Amino acid sequence: MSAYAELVQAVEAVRRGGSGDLVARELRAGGRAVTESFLSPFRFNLGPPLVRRPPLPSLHVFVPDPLVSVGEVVGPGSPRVRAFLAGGEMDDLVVVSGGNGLASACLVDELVAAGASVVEGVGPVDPQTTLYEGVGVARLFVGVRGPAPIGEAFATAVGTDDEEALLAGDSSRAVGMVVSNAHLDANLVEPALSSFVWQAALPFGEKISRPDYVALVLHALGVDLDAVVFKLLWLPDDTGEALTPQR
Amino acid sequence: MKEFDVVVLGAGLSGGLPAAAYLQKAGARVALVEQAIDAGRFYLSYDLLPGARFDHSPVNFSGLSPAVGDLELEKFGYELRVPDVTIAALDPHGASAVFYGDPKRTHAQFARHSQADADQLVAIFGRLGPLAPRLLKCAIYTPHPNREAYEEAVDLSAAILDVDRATLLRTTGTELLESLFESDAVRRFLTALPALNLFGDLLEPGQGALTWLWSVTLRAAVAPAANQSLVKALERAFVAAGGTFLRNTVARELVVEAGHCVGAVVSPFGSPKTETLWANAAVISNLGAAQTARLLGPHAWPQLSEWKSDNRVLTVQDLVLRRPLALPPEVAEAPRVYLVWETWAECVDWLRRSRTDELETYFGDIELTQFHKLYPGRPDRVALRVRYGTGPFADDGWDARRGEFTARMRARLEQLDPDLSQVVEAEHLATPLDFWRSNPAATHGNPIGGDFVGGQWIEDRLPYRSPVDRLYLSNGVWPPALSWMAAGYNAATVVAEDLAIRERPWWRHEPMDWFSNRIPASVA
Repeated sequence: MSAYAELVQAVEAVRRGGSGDLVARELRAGGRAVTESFLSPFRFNLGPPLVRRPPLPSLHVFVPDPLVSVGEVVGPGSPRVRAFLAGGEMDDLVVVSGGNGLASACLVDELVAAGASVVEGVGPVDPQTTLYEGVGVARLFVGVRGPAPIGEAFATAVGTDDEEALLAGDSSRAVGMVVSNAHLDANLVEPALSSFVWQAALPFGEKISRPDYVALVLHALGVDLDAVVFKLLWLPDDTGEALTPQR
Repeated sequence: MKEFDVVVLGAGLSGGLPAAAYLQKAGARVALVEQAIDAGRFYLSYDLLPGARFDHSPVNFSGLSPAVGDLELEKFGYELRVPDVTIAALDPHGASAVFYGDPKRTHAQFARHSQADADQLVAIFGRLGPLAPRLLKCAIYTPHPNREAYEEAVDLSAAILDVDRATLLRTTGTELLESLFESDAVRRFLTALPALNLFGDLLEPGQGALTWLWSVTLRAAVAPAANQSLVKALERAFVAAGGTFLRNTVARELVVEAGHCVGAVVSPFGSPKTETLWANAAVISNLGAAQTARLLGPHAWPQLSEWKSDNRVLTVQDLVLRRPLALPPEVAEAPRVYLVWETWAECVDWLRRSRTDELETYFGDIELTQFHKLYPGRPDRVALRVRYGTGPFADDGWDARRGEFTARMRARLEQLDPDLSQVVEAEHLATPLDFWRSNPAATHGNPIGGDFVGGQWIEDRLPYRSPVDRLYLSNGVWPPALSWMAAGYNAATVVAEDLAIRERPWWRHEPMDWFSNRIPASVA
């Protein structure tokens, strides 16, 4: 069970009158359903941009329209592409206004207000990532001066118009999706700043040069390097999110 | 209608968050409004890559704070421990000194440079030990301006330094060091930390000498679950006591009626929808002078807009390395290492120039934090923080300087470790402009809130009680604190006094209680 699912389960237990004590190994409860700034002015969802609708009716969530653009196909996207954007989840997918971490933080507050104990960050710093095989998810978090190179949809494929190629795991070319971060940029003090996330399928375990790959992607997107305020690449071995079934 | 006793705007670790937690625990109904998702924006922790953990602020002085005991933070998962090794200083010639938890070992380090200086240092620490809690109480955990407390802090400082009071008040920090220590190296090593502008200006008479002493009074501890665990424990303490925490919510306006501040207009992040939070008793702004003035509009008092930032700020460069930075073995054990000036004359000259707009001064005083010593992770994911300054905020040209500063600091580190560039896995430079972009309360890019200069020191700080009735201010300003949570403690004190809820049996801890309860007085 994912750390976020454990958090939701704890809240549901509290709502039924049970105990919701939670000990999170990660820095913040919610696992990858957190929103991170990395000492930058921007907010980035560390994990998948789409999440299953959080059990928090007061939270503002929305379903982007159009959600996906791959070549000529613009719309809700195929199940496979939606799963790519949602960490394998398929149902009732939404975007959390303000960031996925807001959902996790509000769930924690509910637990604490109900008298539960929540302690975070008690696990080792070294996550002992499983050695995966095949293809996984890479994310490049980028903040820039000027507009972000966001396409017509919430997530727009770049470098291919073919779904197979999009998810094949080719690190030699800039093939991936530009995911809008506009819902996290709303309160930047400088309107000229913006951010986006590049999400790509890349092979696990491959020695990929981070600077070279970042340069490849930014060039493909037409981003002026001098305009980049922040950039950070998490490879599949960092995200630990597998696309292909593991043995 | 949403109605509370107290509305706190801004959940900063130094001010708003502890103020809200204290007042909620004291019985007020408090709403805490924070623009970000998490409280304590400048005290969070993050993994730049998995296995490489960083803190926004790499030092933890929370063991000094009464808040740890008063708010029972350990009950909310907060843990601290006393480190064996605290800091080290290294000069370009390879001369060094390491501060250990054990004073005998520290004495031996300084005796390598001068036996007399080592004895002097130990003597000062010996006198400081028993007086430190009272000194901190008078200097920091008192809502200044408070003439009586300030005078007592000066008297205590004079006694600790074994100088007469009148001399102390006309002595700069550099003059004090020259009078106390004979070794060029010892003077430099003991200047590195306060030169990062902790408490004031080392070159101001009186202020400079006090700044030096008060800076060395600080004692760092380590939070094994990262510094962020302090923020989380405070959040938990506040919410568990029944506080209302409005995350992701932006303050739009302070509501003033008939001269009284009666609430705040807020809206959810990214939404034009607004609502008013009514405050029956008090509004605390932790948003800094400029932001508070903007929210007050015509009700702002003239001086509020005149508070200006110190012109000295920090730049932060984070690196993830595939192995630790190559440092001399003894120095390499310290979690924090200062790369100091070549000579004392150079140090004094740098302090003088750092008051100007010379960008070059950024490269004078360099602080390394070896996070892998605090949070051991993967051996091939070593988190290294480089903070350097202090230089001028000056202008909006920081984006253009990003590449140059990154490369220059890399070159500086390669003087220590020529193969460094071969082992850099990730790197990010956060400029003063980025800090301001992250939080405009960080006036002019000062991550500790800005707003204090030579003429706006301890007695001239932004007032906790503002000229607008029922409006209070809780920004760091002076003391320019983060983890010792003094500004919030002091703001809560004045609000609680005004609401007649200050007398609570749990609100009784003294500064340094946490240390006093854990380590022998001879060591403390």
